[in-house]
Amino acid sequence: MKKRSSAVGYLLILLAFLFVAVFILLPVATVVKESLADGFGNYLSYLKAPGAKSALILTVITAVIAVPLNTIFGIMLAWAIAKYRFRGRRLLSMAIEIPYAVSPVVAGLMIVMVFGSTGLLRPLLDALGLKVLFAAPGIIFASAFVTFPYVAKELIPLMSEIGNSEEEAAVTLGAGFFRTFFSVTLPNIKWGLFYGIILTNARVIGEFGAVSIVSGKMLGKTATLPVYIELLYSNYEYVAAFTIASVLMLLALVTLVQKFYIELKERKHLKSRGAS
Amino acid sequence: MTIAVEDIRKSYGSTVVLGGINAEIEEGKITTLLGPSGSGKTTLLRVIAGLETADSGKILFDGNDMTKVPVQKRGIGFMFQNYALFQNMTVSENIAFGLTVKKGADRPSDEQISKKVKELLAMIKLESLGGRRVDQLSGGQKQRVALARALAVEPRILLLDEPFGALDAKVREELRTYLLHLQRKLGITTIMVTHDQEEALEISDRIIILNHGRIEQAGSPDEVYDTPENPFVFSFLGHVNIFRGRVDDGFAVLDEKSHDQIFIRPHEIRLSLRRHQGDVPALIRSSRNLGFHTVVSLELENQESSSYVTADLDRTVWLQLREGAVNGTVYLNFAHFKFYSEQTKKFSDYELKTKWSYSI
Repeated sequence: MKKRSSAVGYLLILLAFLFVAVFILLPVATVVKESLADGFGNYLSYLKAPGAKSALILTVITAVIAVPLNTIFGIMLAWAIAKYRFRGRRLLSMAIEIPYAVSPVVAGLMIVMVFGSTGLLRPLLDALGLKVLFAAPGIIFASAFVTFPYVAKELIPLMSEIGNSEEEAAVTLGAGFFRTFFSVTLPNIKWGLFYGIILTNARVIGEFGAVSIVSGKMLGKTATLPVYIELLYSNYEYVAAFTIASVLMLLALVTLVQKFYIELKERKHLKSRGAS
Repeated sequence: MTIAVEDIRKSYGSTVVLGGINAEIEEGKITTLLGPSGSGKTTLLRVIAGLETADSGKILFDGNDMTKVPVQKRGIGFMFQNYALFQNMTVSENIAFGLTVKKGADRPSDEQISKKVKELLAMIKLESLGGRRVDQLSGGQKQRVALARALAVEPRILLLDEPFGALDAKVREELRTYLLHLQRKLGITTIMVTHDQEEALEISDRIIILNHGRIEQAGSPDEVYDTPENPFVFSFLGHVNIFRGRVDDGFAVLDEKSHDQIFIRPHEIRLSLRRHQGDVPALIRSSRNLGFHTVVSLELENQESSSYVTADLDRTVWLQLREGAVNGTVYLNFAHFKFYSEQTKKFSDYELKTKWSYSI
C-alpha cells in the first residue's frame, strides 16, 4: 500500500511538480508560443516551404526503412538471446547496448570512418556505385544504428519470461517455423513489440546527432526534420524553426499517447497470463 | 509403436546429462521414466520427442531411425509439465491447432476439424467450455485440454512430462485414473516422466529408473519394487529404514561396525507388546496419523548410539499398541528385510521364521 504523505513527502512531490513545470512544460509552451509568433497564416506557410516538405519526405523515408529493419533485427536478436543458450550470448546482449552508450555524434563519426573517402568499405561501395555518405542511405544507416537496441531491449525480458514451451507445443503439433511464429510467438509479444516499434520510430524521426554528421546538412537534399530545424535556427529563422519543432513535438505527443495505451494493454495481457 | 533408445549420450559442457542410455519401449504400454531431479529423465523424453538432440546415439520408432527426423514429423503427442496451452486461443482453438496446421491433402476440412474438436471435448468432459479462454480454466481442466490437444493429431506415441506435477492431490488422483483408462482404451504407446514413485508404481506397465543420467533398473512395478538391484532403487521406491548390520540365524542383528546394510520398509516392521526371539526393544517417540494408517517413530534401546526406526502400522494395531505399551516400550522385529552385502553388491531376502501375533 502507498503511504500517506508526510511533510517530506509533500516537499518531494512539490519539487517534482516544480521541476516538471520549469524544465518540461515551460519549454514546450515556449515552442508553441514562438511558432505562432508570426500568426497562424505564416505558421502554415512555414510548413509548406519547399525545404520543409523535402525534410518531411526524407524523414518519412528514413523511418519507413529503418523502423521495419530494426523491428526484424530486434525480434531475431531477442529470440536468439531469450530463447537459446550459446557461447557469446552475454557478449551479444552487451553489444546490443553499444548504441545506447555511445553519443550519436560519435556514432555518426564512426559511420563516416567506415563509409568515408578513406573508409574501410569505400572500395566496395565504389565498386557497387553506391553513395552512402551525404545521401539517404547514410542517413538511414545512422538512424538505424542509433535506434538498434529499442525493439530487442523491449522483447528480451518479455520473451525470457514467457519461455519456450508454447513454441515447443506448437512444433510437436506439427507447426513449422513461420506458423509457430505468427500464431504463437507474435500474439504473445505483440504489445511489447508495438512498444519497441513506437520508441524506435520516435527516435528515428527525432535523431539529430548522427544524422547531422553523415548527411552533410544540405537543405532540400539531405536535411531531415531535426536537421532542417537546426539549419533554420542557425539562419536566424527562429519562427520557422519553432514551427517545424512544434510538428516534431506533436509527433512526440502521439507517441506518448500510444505508449500509455500500449502499457495499459500490456499490463492486462500479462495479468491474464499471470493468472494462468 | 515400439521405441528403441540406443546408447543416447548428451552433455552440457562438462555435465553429463545422459550417459549412454539403452532402452526398449513396448507397444501400447505405459512406460515411466522415474528418477530424482537432475537424473536426465526429462532430457531423455525430449530427445525421444525430438525437442532436443543427443550428442550421439539413436532413436528408433518401429525399427526406423528417427534420430534426424524433425519433431514435426515424428508423429508424437507431447504434454508439457506446465501444459503450455496457447494463451491467445480458446480451448477449441487449442485443441484444433494440430489439425489446422496440417498442409495440403492432409488437412481436414473445417467441418471435420470442428467435429473432431467436439469429440475430444466430450472425451475430456469439457463440452461446454470450448469457447473459453484458457486462462479461465482450473489446473485440472487445463491438463485435460493439453491432453486433448496432444491426442487431436492422433499421435503414434504419447509423451507426458510430469503430467500431474502441478495439481493438488485430489485432482491428481482423479486424472491419474482417467489417464490410465484412456490409455487402455486407445492403446497408445505412452512414455511418462515423473519423480513421484507412487505415481509410477500405480500406473506404469514398466518403470525405468534413472539416476545421474544412467539407468539404475528397468522392469515391471512389482519387479523393481520387490527385487531392487541396488540400494538407490530400493531407497527411491519408497521409505526405507537402513541400518548397518549382519544376519544371524535368520535374524537381523544391528551392528554399527558392519560394512553391510539391512534395508527394511516401514510396513514390514512388526511391533509387539511381548518379547519374542530376536526382538529388539524400542521406545515410541512420536506418531503421525495418516488416516487409515499411522507412521510411528521409535528409538531402539541397547544401541551404542541412538538410532531411530520408522514403522508404518495399521491404525487399529497402532491403537492397541499405544494402549498396552508399558512406559512406551514395544518389541520390534523385521517381518521381511533385505540384506545388502558390500562385497557382492547384491541383496538377499529374509523372512521372519517365527509366527507372529501383534499384542497378545
